[in-house]
Amino acid sequence: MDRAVIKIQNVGISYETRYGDVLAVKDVSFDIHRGETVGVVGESGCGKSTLAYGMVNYLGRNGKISKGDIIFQGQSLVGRSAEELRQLRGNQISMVYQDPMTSLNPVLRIGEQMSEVLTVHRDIEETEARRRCADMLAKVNMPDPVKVLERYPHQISGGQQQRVVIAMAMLNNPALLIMDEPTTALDVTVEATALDLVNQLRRDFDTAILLISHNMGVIARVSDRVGVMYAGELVEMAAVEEIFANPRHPYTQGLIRCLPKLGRSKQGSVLYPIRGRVPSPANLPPGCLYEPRCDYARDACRQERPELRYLNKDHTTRCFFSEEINPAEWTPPPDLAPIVDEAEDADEVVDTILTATHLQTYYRHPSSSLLSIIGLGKKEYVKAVDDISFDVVKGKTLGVVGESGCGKSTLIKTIIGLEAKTGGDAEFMGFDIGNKVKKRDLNLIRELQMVFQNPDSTMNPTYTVGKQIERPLRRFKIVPKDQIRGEVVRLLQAVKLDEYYYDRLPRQLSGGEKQRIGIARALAGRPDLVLCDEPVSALDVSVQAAVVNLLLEIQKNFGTTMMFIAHDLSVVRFISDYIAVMYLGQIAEIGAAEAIYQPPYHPYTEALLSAVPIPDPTAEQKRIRLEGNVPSPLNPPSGCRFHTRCPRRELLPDGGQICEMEIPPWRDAGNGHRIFCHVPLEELEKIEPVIHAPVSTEEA
Amino acid sequence: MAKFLIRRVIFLVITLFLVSIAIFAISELAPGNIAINTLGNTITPEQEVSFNAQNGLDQSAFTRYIRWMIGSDWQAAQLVGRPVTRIYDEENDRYSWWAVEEDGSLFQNYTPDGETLIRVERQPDGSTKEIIVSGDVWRPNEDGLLIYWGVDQNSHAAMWVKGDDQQAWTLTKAAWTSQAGAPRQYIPLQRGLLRGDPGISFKDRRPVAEVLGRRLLNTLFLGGVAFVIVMPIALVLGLVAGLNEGKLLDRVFSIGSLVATATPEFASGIFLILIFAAWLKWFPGAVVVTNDRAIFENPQMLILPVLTLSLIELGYVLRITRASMVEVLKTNYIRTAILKGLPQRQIIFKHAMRNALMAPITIITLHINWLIGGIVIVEVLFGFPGMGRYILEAALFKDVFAIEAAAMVLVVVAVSSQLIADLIYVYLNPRIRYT
Amino acid sequence: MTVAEGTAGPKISSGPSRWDKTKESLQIFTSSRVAVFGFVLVFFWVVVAIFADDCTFRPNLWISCVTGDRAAYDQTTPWLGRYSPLEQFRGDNLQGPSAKHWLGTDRQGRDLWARLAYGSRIILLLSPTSVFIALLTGGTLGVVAGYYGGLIDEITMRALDGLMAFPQILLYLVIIAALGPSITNIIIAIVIAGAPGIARLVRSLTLDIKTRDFVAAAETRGESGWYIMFVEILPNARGPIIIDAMLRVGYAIFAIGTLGFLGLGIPPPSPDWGSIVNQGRSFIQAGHPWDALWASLAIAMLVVGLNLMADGLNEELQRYR
Repeated sequence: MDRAVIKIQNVGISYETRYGDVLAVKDVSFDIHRGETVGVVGESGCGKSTLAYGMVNYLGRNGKISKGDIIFQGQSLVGRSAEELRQLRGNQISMVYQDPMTSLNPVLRIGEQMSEVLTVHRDIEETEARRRCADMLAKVNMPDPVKVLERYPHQISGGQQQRVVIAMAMLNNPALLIMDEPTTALDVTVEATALDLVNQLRRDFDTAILLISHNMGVIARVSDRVGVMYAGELVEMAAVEEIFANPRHPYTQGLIRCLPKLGRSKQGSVLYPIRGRVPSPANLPPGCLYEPRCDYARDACRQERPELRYLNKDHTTRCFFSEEINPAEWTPPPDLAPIVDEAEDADEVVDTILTATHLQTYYRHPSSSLLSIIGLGKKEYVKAVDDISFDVVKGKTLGVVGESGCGKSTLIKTIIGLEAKTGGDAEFMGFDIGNKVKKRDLNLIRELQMVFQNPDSTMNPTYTVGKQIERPLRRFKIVPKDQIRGEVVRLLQAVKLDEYYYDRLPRQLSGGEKQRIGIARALAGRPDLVLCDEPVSALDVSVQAAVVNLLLEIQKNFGTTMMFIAHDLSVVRFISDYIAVMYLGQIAEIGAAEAIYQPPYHPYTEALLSAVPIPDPTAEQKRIRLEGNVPSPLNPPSGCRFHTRCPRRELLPDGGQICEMEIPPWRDAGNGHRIFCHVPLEELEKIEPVIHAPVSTEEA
Repeated sequence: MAKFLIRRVIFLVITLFLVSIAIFAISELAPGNIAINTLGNTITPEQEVSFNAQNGLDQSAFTRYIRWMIGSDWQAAQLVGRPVTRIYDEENDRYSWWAVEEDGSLFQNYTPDGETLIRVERQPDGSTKEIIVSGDVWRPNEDGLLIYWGVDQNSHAAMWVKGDDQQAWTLTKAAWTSQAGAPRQYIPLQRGLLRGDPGISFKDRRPVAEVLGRRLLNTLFLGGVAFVIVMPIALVLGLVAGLNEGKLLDRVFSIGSLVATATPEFASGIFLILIFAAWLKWFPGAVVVTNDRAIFENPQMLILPVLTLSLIELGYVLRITRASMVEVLKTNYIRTAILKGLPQRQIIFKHAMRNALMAPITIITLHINWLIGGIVIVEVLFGFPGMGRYILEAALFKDVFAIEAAAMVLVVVAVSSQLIADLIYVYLNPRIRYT
Repeated sequence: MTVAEGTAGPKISSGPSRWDKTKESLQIFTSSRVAVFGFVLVFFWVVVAIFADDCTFRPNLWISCVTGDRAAYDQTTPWLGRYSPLEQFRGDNLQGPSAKHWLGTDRQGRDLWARLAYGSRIILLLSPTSVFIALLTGGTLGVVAGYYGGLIDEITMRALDGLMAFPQILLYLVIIAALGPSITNIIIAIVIAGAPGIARLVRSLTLDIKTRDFVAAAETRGESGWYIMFVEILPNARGPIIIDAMLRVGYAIFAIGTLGFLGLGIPPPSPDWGSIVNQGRSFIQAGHPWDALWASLAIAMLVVGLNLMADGLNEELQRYR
């Protein structure tokens, strides 16, 4: 019996543009069965989302399915009338979107938005529809479902909004659920619960699910089978274990190699970026689309475009030489191999370059109260950074992790002087840096520089690359005027860019190139401390690896000290020597990087680690999920700020009454590893490691 | 929500306060002299000084602003030692100010020679009786002069000095006349803008408030008719154009509305007059007012003025609504609605429209200011007796108090209409209603 | 990775030249038919203004020519204008269009085409000048308020809100009534009326741009506020500002015309378009609509043209992004 809910057969999707038709998806074929989750992964611009919207024939005015067929439950979806499509959408096929906030109508109550899905497609009374909506919300673990129906979207949290979108999609028990980056906008602990929900839905409803994601970890956690897309083509498809254990397309191999594994670090493992970038649809290579970036490329690859072919019943690939390429035998080409820091000087002098003691940064909260209009209102403060103490060791990297709103960005803004501290002390090489940058000495300013998160806004669109790197050189008078151009070229070379980038404008550059120039600009003043604010989180994984390697190389060559902020625990672990975990404006745990990822854990660190999606379907990860929402930093919980959500309070007598009453003590686990928790160290040490995976058997 | 609205009211009051200062500053403090502007540049310095004194223009800006806003009668009452009041004589149709005696009788003062003080008492029948004040009413001031504060016969509180030969110049119909025994100081009596009396017109020497009310009513009628006709049409056409983005219908609507908005009202008004009044002779090309109710009795006179006003409004609101609709249709929640399989009608009326109307509503209110601009032109062009023409006539005559008053009234109308829009906006937007 | 070709050459400029940039902007412009049509409408009057007579090539006469000085007109030779705008043709008054007087004549027998042609100079000079001044003042206020925020912002914006609560026409009337009608005072009025709007626009653009990382980067270099505002922020706001300025030149023409129409324009005998409408409209009922019609049409042409240009350009720019 044919169990396929949907069959995608040689589908091509094209967009009309001013420069003619552009094929965004070319020749994709696969099936999805009942109760099966198919994950589709690939970097941005690979046509994943286009494929998803093509499956419901929602391609805008200028898009169309130009080739192939989509058979849904035995009937073709291509060429259906608008009315037929309407009856399918929301009923038989439904979707979950990337950004739940904007996907819900801001002016309609959630109940109205949900129940109309039922009343439109079925002959159902409004009251009955409401009842079913409440039931469905309960099924997606929404607290207080009946009340939520009466709310507006802005009144619930982002994670809850995504639950509403998922519940809305499941109301008519669709045969096919398409999820387009459903967790990308969510924090890691919220993401974990959302992914649990996906797994639960598939079990309970026997739905066929297509999940689109750029995150290999997400794909590994929920998919049964995985398709890898590259430049609009499906290049490989196999069961999830097979894809990760035995990838047979060079692109899949490359993707896996450029990901840092959770728990691995720069000592002992290496990230290999994929060279080049995804070709633009207007400028495709004649042969295999991956050929220009492929390490195995041969003449045949340049002349002919490979077809998708079966390696065995369950494994398809689009490569001529899949049988010959073994990921285990791959040796990095010389230009990709980064300098590995081999010699770890044990007797190195530990020099502190930056010290923060009880640092506080509060923001005035723009209160909406009436009195505050005339300046008499009670002044409320967002306690973004509240009583933080740490040291940064010279020549090393301190990583700072935490979910959005934990205050990590404010922390480095305070250090660099974009924000003024409210209390406590911060000293850099003996100089007070508690004030704003405008009040600092030019030399001190030069010593502290920053790399920013968003490649699209890190550079001024008006000026050329050269001009922008020149500016700090002129301002800090690093070199004599006549040597400025030479110095810029030297800096460009340091970030692996050629001299001809000098006259380029930012819009002519890719995201990775812009980030490199941002790094070059930060290095221009020859700073001692570089603060990196999520410098790789907006980049595709292959580019991310290259930028991470670049940062490591720079640190090695220039002896630069770094603070590295990220929400991605794998990346932070990889690049950092020391790590601080932040929650609600405070440090929950701090210590050497390897110590953080092993017990004893702070309960929050433990929850974070168990939430991280690991790009390895065989990894066994303990399942700890946090309840509730992050409290407001305007009015943080008393005692331990984590007590409202802490799953480890039961380790304490009478359920952790003390956590609500008293500020926890610092538990010293040795070697500078400190945990901010009421639970005694001995108890914390007894906790099992979060991850039992082949990962823990390091090769180094 | 209440907070939001109270906030808006507070801002509104602040704005009005700032506006009043601006109006005051521009019209009274700007370089250029009210005396010369009003009386022509042939006046002598003495005449100018006397004019300024009589009109309170010799006082500091602060004092003048205070008097303009909250009046001078309370100040005068303190100096005179008796309350002062304004009464209206129906018989000769004029207003006058009097000091009030304890028994309720009214009186004014003057002195023909600076020595004898005459008391003018008002009789219940409206006639007056003059008596020479007996006894010593002169009081010494700090400089040792003997002074007397009273209400004079030209609506001032006035300070006479005993034995003075102060000259005052007044411009009568015939010529400048000089009069001896005049007061040393004047406080022009008025109740102040906030109490409904913005002063006396230089043009006809009558209270500005008298004409203002009637003119305002006419203008509100004209503007209101245009508004009521235009808004529904413009919103509907805008939504239709937005729904058909990029199609021929949209292009026609868009360009047509742009041309309608960009053409100045006097130009489009003249085109309409030429076409409908001069050529086709369908409607009258001017508003002829024979009595107060003429515009209500003869509504076809209003067709062309309303049409002229409508054109510019229509175009503007249509464009805003269209842009808003286009934007809403591109949002993710409309995509969600489509992919939920909702019928087109439901997507448009339930999901898109309410969101698409939010932007126009806030912007339309800012546009009330433009509507007022249009009204001035239309009133002048068609000879409609409204606020707009009043203010222009005042401006041409440099009738400062009249301009100030009319400008303030129009600003109050404009700003308070924004409050109404805020209410609608709050109703449409739950994000404000529930925070 | 990448290999440098031709390493030591001091000037390998593969970046965009000024000409390339201009060509690109031109292309954006010409790809919008609406914008091109608007441009034609405006360009017509620009040509007429420049070649109305030969005074364009006699700089010593510029100012007196624009202000309508009789003596200056006597020294120039009319070109496109055909006659002097002040020359009175005896017996030819209140004529309709003819070969001798293309657009007819006014009550004093002056040629209407000549008056329009010369009048275009006033309007095409006054409006951009006043918008430019408004741009300088409003732009500075806006960028300062937006960048520094806080109390400075609050005070500036409250004050400007106060000005914006004014219906603009009231502002014109009040200002002209207080200062009297003259070229300078019209410019002052337009600047006061226009600057708050520009300040608001620039402020909102500044608020947006200042959140970008490159501004933070400049701050971490300890750059001064002026450098950040005028070198980092403002150049990136130029697109919307230029389009807004184009619209504002249109509004200024609108306003100058309106003032003339209301009798508050540049005093006679200057061939101010609005004043021509004002004087001409009393002859409409008498069957001589030409003064009012042509002058109205001319003003409408210019304003509509500028609006079409701005609108087309804006749409094209958005598509371009």
